Amino acid sequence: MSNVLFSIARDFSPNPGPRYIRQGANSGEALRRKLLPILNGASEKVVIDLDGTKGIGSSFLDEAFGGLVRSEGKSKDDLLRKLEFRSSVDPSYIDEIFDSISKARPETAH
Amino acid sequence: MWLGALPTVLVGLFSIWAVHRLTKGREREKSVFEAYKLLGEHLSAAKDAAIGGWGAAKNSAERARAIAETKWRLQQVGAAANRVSILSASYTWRLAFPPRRARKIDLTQEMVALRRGITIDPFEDPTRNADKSKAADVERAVGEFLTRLDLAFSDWLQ
Repeated sequence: MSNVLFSIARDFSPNPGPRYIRQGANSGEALRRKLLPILNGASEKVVIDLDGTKGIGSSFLDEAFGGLVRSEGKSKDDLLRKLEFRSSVDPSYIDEIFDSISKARPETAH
Repeated sequence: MWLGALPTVLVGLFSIWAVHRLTKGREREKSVFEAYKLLGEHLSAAKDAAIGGWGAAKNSAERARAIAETKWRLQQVGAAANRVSILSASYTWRLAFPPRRARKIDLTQEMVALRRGITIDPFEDPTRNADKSKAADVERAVGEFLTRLDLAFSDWLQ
């Protein structure tokens, strides 16, 4: 069984944008929606490659990955087990993502 | 006769090893310092771009350009911080657990705080108005990063 590799630069956009879809192109919310079926369908690890972009903002990372817990109801343990991140350019992106996931709380439906 | 020369040979070998080690250490210090200086240059460019991004008018081309440049420059800062970490890494052995101890300038958490401090919401929100008061927040985030960087560098040199 081989891992599923997802490159943000190649499979999403080399220019990651703002937090929400309504704020502009290539948002963190759009990436989250693209990742969701991949995560749901893969039985193996999903490896996210963060290299090759022209820079990623904090709000994008938080919405794409913390949003999986907040808005999609994913469990943190599942995510941490299933997702793997790679960045040889700026490994601090990985710490920021783990921090976003660990601080996220599921949103309650109103 | 050969055995009589052994101490001289050993002293010679030790001297060669000591000089080699000293030279290697100095070369490493020099390359870490070069990476540290480059990091400072990228940081200064990121700060200018971020202040421009916060202060630029809504829907202006200037804002879009400054936001893109801020993220690009911050990634260069992160890459330089990673290079400093790699170049400064060394390992020492000791009679304790774990026996191998890593020593390096690790700025990962500082980099996370810097990026959050600069690109925090609503930095990329196209509906926000220009906010020149955020320049002080950017200056503060950069100042804190520089303080931590200088402390980590001087600790490493000791």
